[in-house]
Amino acid sequence: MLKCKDIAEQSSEFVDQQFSMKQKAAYFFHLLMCGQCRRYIQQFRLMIKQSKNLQQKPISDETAEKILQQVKKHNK
Amino acid sequence: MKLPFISNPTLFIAADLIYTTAQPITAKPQYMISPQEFDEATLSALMQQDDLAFKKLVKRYHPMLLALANSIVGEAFGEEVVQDAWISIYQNLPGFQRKSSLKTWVYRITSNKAISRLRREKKHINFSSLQPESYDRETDCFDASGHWASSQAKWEMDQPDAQLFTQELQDCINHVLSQLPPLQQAIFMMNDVEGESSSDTCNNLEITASNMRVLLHRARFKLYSHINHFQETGEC
Ligand SMILES: [Zn+2]
Repeated sequence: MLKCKDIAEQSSEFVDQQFSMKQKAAYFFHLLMCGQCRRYIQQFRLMIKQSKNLQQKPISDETAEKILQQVKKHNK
Repeated sequence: MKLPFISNPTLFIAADLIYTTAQPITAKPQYMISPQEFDEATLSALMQQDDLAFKKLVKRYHPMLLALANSIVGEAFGEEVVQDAWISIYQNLPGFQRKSSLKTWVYRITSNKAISRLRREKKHINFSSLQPESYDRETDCFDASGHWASSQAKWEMDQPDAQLFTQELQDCINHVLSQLPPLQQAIFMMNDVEGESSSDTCNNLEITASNMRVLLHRARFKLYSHINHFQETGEC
């Protein structure tokens, strides 16, 4: 029987669909029994799905300008 | 073994879960295509080494390139490697073949620069700074019998498809990301944020697929724990 800890440890493989049918069945069986893990996996999945919208900390105009100047200096 | 009684609502939730998990989330839905991706006009300006277009490119990719370089050569050489990569990118833009996306091409150049720098500087690179940290935090989440040590906070969302990453949470996540071991940070950013394929991520970072999966999961789980904490306390 899988434990909650196993559910968490295998959650990336589950979400990324790396499981065999047998693994999937064992995983679903635990989810069926355990509300905590159902909530976990739904939220974990949501996080991954929305990570694509994460904005990285932008760099300043000055930094970009500095990089451009160094690049051009090198290109002469 | 006697099965515990399963109430109908539980079955419904489970069925819903089976349905929603049946769809892979690797594909980028149309509406999520980042507004920063380049249009045809910008692309041709880039190929003519236009200043403005180049700065746009730098602003878009510099943080990712830095994460990529840091994960390979460490923070001591990361900045220099990226500067070097920008020189190469600039010089090669007129000959960009469009055989891959510009993004993938830019990553590849940076990764090659970092790898050759790694070979040159092997003696001077502090590898301990590149090693993943221990699993401690994650094992703390569970009790001795393998159950959750505390109950899972329900994340507050106005609607199921509402934005999880508010500006405040986004700042928090950027901070957490910057504290991750460089390789975990780079893998997460490349795979989950930038949506590169797993094989491109592995190639760019010179790691095996199994290593990548382990580190990607560690990064995700750590972020999950921080989002949970944020949801419970409103603090990062
Ligand atoms: Zn459980």
